[in-house]
Amino acid sequence: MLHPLQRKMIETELVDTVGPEYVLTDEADRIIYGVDYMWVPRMWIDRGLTPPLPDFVVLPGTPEEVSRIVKIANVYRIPIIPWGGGSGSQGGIMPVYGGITLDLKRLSSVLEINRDAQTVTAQAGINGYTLECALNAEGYTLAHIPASLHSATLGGYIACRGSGVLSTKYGKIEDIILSCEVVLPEGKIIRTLPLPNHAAGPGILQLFVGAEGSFGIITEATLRIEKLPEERRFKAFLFDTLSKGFEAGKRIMLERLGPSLIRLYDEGETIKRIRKILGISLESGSYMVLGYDGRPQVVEPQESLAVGICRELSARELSEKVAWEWWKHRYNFYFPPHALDFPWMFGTMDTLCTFDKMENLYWTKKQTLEERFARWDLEYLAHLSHWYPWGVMVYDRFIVQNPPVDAEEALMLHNEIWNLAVRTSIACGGVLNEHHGVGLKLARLMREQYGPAFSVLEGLKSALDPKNVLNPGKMGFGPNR
Amino acid sequence: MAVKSLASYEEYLYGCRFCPMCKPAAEVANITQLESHTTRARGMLLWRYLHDMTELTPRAVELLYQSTLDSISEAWCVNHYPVSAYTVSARAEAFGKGLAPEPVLEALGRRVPAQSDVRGDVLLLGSEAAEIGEISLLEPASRVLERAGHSFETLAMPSGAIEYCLGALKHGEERAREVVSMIEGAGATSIIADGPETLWALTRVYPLLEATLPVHIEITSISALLAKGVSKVSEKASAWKGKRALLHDSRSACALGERMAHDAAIQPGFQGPEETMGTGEVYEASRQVVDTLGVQRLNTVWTRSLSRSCGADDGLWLTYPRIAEQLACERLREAELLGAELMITDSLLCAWWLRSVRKSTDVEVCWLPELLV
Repeated sequence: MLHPLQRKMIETELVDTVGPEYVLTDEADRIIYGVDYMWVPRMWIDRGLTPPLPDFVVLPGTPEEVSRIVKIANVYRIPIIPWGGGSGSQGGIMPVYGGITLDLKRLSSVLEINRDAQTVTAQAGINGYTLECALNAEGYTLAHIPASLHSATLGGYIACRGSGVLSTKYGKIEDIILSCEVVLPEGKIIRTLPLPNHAAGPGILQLFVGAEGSFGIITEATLRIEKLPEERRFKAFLFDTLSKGFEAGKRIMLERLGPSLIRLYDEGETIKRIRKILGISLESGSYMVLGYDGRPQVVEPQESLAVGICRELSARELSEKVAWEWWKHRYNFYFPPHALDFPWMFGTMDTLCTFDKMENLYWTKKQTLEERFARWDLEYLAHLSHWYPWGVMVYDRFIVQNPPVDAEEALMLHNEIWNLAVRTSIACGGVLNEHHGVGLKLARLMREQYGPAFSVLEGLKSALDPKNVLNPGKMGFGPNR
Repeated sequence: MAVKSLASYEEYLYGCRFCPMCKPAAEVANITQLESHTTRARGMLLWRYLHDMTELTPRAVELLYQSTLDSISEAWCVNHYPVSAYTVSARAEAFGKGLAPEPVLEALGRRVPAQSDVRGDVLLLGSEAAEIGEISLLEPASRVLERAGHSFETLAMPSGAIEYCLGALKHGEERAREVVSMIEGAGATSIIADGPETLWALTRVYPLLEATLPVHIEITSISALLAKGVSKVSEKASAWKGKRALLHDSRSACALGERMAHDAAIQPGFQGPEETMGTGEVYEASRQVVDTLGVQRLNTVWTRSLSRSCGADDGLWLTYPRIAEQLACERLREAELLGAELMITDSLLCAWWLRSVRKSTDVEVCWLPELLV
């Protein structure tokens, strides 16, 4: 806790750096910076409690100002937490030890769209929707279109190692990024090499991608862009079982048939969510949307082969309208009252594994969680939505409709569910997370995920950030020193 | 009908309190970049206040007022949660408790032009002009209406819309009753509103303030009249033909619209029919005039119910003029980026405000009647 006198002394320096209108200290301003899309801080507020708040919210207007603020944080050994759009689901922005929340949204310019190189350079605080619209106006797309598009920022995409809905064709953000500018934990401003694929040593770009602000604050990035596709196609299928749908997806990927999207819902989600949202009559089965982007001459034969695989596996082809309905209204799922909300407890436990492990992972996790938390009537739902030539991401979720009312009791149940879920994933050959990140939610499980290899991350953290001022309490690292 | 209590919107505040989906539509937050100016932050503040988890502190109330009524977030929301209505109720709650910030009290105490009695069957109600304090601004409209064969008297007095927007419902009601009384005293049977805010006040706000005009009085707007008679008065208007123009709809226009934006509009890069962003006579009238004159209209998703505020909406220009100026500058910058030579609006208030801050741009600002003068 900062003494009020010391708080004012620090505030003076912050005001001196960015001006008084960009330093916020009133609780009415700070409260919103204590909450992202993670269930826990929302629950804390829902139950009438106040989550941890930053002592200051600061909005720098240049990377140099970011650097100066980081230096101030080092002098006073107070935490500094980067803030983008506040749409993360892991509590990565929670100021658990107070300090300075650094809202980067004033760094929101598109600096260059290079048509020759087909790249964009933009500042980290730019809103995802705004960036995508700017590119679309020039005939391009970032091709990174997450559900959080309307709220997340470019910096948030990178810091959380995010995925877009079309990642199966275009890759995740770590595949799309070429280079970035970073303010290091002691204030130095660096730029990574201009290209990601080189043999000039191991490269440092990926050190900052997914680090959630623990190794540095990303202020700018250059990314690959794509021409807007000449054609975008979607088809919808209903498989008898998830297993058959999975087999189809796996064959499409192993045969390199290049879909932009394969979204396969398990039977639970098909019946409970898809039927309701699309207003179509489905009594059983596993719903799949298959997407293709590109030149018609290229996608036509690929799509035809992919459709053939689905038919071989006895899939019932639904009308294209049904597939397009999903695409056109996919954001509606995130607006109230459709979005998952209280009084339920819920969480998305996305994980990733190779094809050979997927079915075992899915069924083991479903059985383990539903049995262990039968008292709470836990429901396990999943879809498979980001596919690789070697495996697939399982976007699985749990829902507890009647969690404890007491906040601390609810938090303990929440953590117990997460512990078991992640440990089961890891035991079945999966990983901690595919694209939502670690944050506060999964920090305690990082050591289990990495085993002895966690010492590499710890060593890097100690070397880069000896006072541990950058986003302490996340990623398995402790408090500021 | 009356303004509902804040508590009656609990269900919607519950939905908004953690929802970040309308961020691209945030007008003020996208200028200041403060998260505390977002609809999500306001939703959280008000929900917590309703549940006695927080007080309406001076800064909390200030945040509540550093905004338009935010009908754009309502239009962007695929389920059109009543953001605008609950913002009015929240302000009314704060105002009723004596918590209104100084700039709001100053705005309510502003001097308005005195109005002497008028008599006439048809009145041009210049409430937007009266708010600005320059009745002469109505001249282009008067000339065009006269050329189109309309005879009328001018009544310039504030409508009470601003008081309503600021949550000062009693003040709004008093203003509304004064206007109703003047109209009745004039023996008018027909009112021509000088802009969407005036029209909105007469048709939507007055019933909420229980200051309704007699049912026999017909209410229309200048733009609707011009749309009907544009061919009669457009012979001298060829100068505008081919000019690239961005049409600006005020937030009051959104409140008068029939249907808000369809969910298709929130897809990035959406390029569908303009009607996707909202429908209603209030939008069509000015477009009909502009199209008849051969002006080339530029496309943007930020139009109709998704039109972003230029700052001259909902009293913001009176209470927090610096924010309102920044909004105007941003709208002009966007118009310039789109390649507009002209920015046209049916709102006298918007045209005046945009002009007053127009500095480093070549984009010309036109109030709709001026195209026909």
